[in-house]
Amino acid sequence: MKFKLLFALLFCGASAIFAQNEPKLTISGTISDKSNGETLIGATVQLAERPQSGATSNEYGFFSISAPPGNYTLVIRYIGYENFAQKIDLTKGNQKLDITLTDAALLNEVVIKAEKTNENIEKPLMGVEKLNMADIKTLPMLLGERDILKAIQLLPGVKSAGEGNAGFHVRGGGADQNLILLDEAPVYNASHLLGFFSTFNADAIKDATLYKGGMPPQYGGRLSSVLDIKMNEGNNKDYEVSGGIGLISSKLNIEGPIQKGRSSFLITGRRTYADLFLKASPDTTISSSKLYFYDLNAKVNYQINDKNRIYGSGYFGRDVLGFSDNFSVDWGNATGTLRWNHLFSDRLFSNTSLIYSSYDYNIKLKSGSNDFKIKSKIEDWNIKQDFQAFPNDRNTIKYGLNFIHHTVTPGNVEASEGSSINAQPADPRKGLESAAYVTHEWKATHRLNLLYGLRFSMFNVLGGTEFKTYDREGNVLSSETPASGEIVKTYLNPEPRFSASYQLTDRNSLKLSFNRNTQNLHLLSNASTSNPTDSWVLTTKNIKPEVADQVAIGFFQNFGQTQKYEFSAETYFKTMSNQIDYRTGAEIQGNRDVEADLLSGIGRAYGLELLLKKQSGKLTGWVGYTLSRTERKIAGINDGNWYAAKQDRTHDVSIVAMYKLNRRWNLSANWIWYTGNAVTFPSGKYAVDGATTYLYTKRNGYRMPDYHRLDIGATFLAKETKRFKSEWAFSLYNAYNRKNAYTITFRDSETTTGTTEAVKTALFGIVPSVSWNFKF
Amino acid sequence: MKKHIKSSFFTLISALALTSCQDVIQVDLNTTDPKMVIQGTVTDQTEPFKVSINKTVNFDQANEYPAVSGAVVTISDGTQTFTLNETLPGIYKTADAQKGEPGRTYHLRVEAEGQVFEANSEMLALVKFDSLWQDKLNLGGQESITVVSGYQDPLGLGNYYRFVLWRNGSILSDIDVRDDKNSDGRTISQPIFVLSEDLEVNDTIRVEMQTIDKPIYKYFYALAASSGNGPNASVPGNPVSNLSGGALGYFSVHTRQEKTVIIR
Repeated sequence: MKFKLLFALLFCGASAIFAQNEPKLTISGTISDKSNGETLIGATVQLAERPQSGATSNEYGFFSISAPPGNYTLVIRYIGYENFAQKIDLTKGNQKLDITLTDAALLNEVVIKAEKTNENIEKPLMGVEKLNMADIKTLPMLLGERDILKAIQLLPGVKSAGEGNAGFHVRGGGADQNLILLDEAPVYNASHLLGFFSTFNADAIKDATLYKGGMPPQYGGRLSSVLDIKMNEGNNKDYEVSGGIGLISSKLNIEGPIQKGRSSFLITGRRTYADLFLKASPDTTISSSKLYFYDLNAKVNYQINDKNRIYGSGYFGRDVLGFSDNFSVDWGNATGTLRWNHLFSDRLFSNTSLIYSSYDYNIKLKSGSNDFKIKSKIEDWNIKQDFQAFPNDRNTIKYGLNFIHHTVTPGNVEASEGSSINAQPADPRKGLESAAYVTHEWKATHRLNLLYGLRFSMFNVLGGTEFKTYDREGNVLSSETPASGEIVKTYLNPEPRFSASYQLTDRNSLKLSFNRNTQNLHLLSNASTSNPTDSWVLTTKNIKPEVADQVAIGFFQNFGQTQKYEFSAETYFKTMSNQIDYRTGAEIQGNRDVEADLLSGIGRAYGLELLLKKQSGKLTGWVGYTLSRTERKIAGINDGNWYAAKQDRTHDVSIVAMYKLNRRWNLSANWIWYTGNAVTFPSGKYAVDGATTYLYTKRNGYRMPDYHRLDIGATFLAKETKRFKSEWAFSLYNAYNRKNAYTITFRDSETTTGTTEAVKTALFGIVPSVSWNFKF
Repeated sequence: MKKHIKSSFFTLISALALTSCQDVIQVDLNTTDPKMVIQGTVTDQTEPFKVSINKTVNFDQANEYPAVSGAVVTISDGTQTFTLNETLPGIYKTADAQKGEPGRTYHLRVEAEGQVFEANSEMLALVKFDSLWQDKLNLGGQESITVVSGYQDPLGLGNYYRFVLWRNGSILSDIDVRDDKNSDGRTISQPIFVLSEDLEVNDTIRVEMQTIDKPIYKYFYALAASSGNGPNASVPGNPVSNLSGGALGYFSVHTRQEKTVIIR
């Protein structure tokens, strides 16, 4: 049924593209920031004389719009920038233009009349949030660390994985179901310091877009969301040094032209000094420990000519945790992306990417005669070819191919002679993930916009290691070791994607979307908190690809003078299959037969998300509300009945406000309130060998207490000259010092022997912080 | 070891959260129908086979678990069936001392309050408990006292061990069970982690080493991991018992050896 519909659309779409065969000329070029040459992603491009026309600058700032010969006014709009308009004589031939926009913040307030576009109601995309990097720099954050992953948790439909945690759940999905891309490279562990900070240094980030549903077909590989993060390219006009000194970290950013106007570089580094806090601790176990992380982002780009441009970018980050010489763990991500933009014509844009990404951890332990090292790694090589065609001013077609070769080394153990454990060879698992996609974005009528397409994904389980089958109890039934490179099993999954918007009036629209996503990499983590040693596994014969189907309907409305308020209401229903859970007492780590401890089942999630946003004026911000439910049904858990997933949370409210008091002071505050997550508490107790043991009756049958918190922040512009700018940022996390429950545990009473009690642990009380940032 | 790594993470999380705090709170927990809890042991020592039968209570009640009296309890070794008599309320023992034999599978049958509960457990071969000594565990400057068990794991997978500790005559609640999937055939010297209490100089530490079968290993592993408390916590749940009929608890047939060390 879905496929029939899709084919029908493809047919209509194709005829729409070719039917308009009147001669056309093209205006194309790149859009960038006037002051630093950073290309601007997602700026809207329109010919004023052709109200139905429309294009958007792509992820490299490139746009292309075609129209019959004539005289036009080219209008370009981008949030936070002054509108651009220019008369174009499109009678003689194709026009090439490189357009620079002026940052509205650099203008006098009186001059700003940044006319808002209707993009949010016109675009067929839904469930999409584009983050304003300026907002992220203003919002109050824990210990003053500006953080994209925590900022998105303030949006409806996105839930934090725990107090102060960078992990998140989107529309009821698992924390491993988010595809987090940094310059197209997947980042496997997006957090530092056991989850408290994200790996993304906000200073190096240009643009971040979150897709909660209705993912365009060029994205795939995870079930719940795509967070597409693009690094800055570096100022190609002037050298610039900026940095900051904060309570727990310091950072430095250097960028500048290599060849003025043609090429630039950027290097950003960040290092924490949390160990200093540990040193202050009276507990010597803590004070002699090591605990820090650092990040390094680097990028270069070079414009060879007006048809070719190349980019190289990389990220390297590492966390180190150690207790004197006896025990240490270090972990981190590394990514590298090489890209080549090529214009085959003014209407056909191509990008070729070669991407590397890895995550690994190392454990070293020395105690008595025991001396061993454990190394674990996931490593990807990824080739992507994307084409974007702009046949006319109402159609955009994207198509491409992607191949990712995964190598997962679960735990290579090196042990000394006297150790109590055996050395184990690396024994890496391999898999090949391939995809082909095509998508058509079509302004079908003045009111109707469509985006539809198909992603066809394939996963090959590759040989070279031992594969086993297990019975229902988890005992080994058979074992085989196929040759390296041999295809052990192939999974094919067509993933239809469709979204449409229909404008009811000029100010509101209805949107509808359907999408299927599959996932072939699964994170095993049965602990309540995320650990750096949680391991990724590939799809095998036993572990099937996860599949999710999501349908969403939304209503979008703009109102107020200059349409400064945006309101949206989205409701979704999602089904998920092959969801993984664990047998009680599953051994996740150091277990070669971990597959035997896994259970698989289905899931469903549904909810309503309301968002009211104010994007301009002295006061900006948003109010978000989510009503949601997410459940699982897995044979072997909860007697095979539906139960609430641990991220299930019924009500969730967030209020975010930023107020520009004057030229020097910016104030901000956010308040969040949510009802507790589902949790398993005991309903009775007994004794095993004299020790109190708890009796559990229902999986996740209880709720944590309500959570609420207010954070406030302020930034103060201390000095601003042409050459130098400095700024103070103050924040107060958990301003009214609410003792929110991080965990609730149960134990024998310490005051009344012979009874038991519940203990609430609150992690953060009020946490003030200050940091100083500079730029010259 | 894994447990240790996790507990280190946990310590650091708490350390990071400089303002973290703990409070005893009231949680409104459901009541539940009492369930049967059976614990049975057969060992290779000459001692009566023993089974205790109790019932669960609600969380807010005192830690007093009602004894189940009047049950019919038998243990058979395949050729002979022994009857266990109630010596104290809820405590059932064979009249004479018996001795379990490695290689045999024992069958427990309990008939209580109109229900029947059964379990099988196999006595695996004895692995010699070679030595026990004290050691300092130095994890980041602070030295804590630990005891280390020494034994030789026999070549071939499928050995499972359980260590039970008494400190000055009182049993400790720490659960330490091990398998040999990553240590097959090795000479093992592995600390037994005591997280429930701090060991001190002059403490008498008695350690019982048991060789257990796989279901019992799985039971205690799950009991430790899924207790819902502490750093090694996974999603809480009831461990899978080897008893049929919906009873909680276990029937463990094992060898046992003891060693004692006085902390200096």
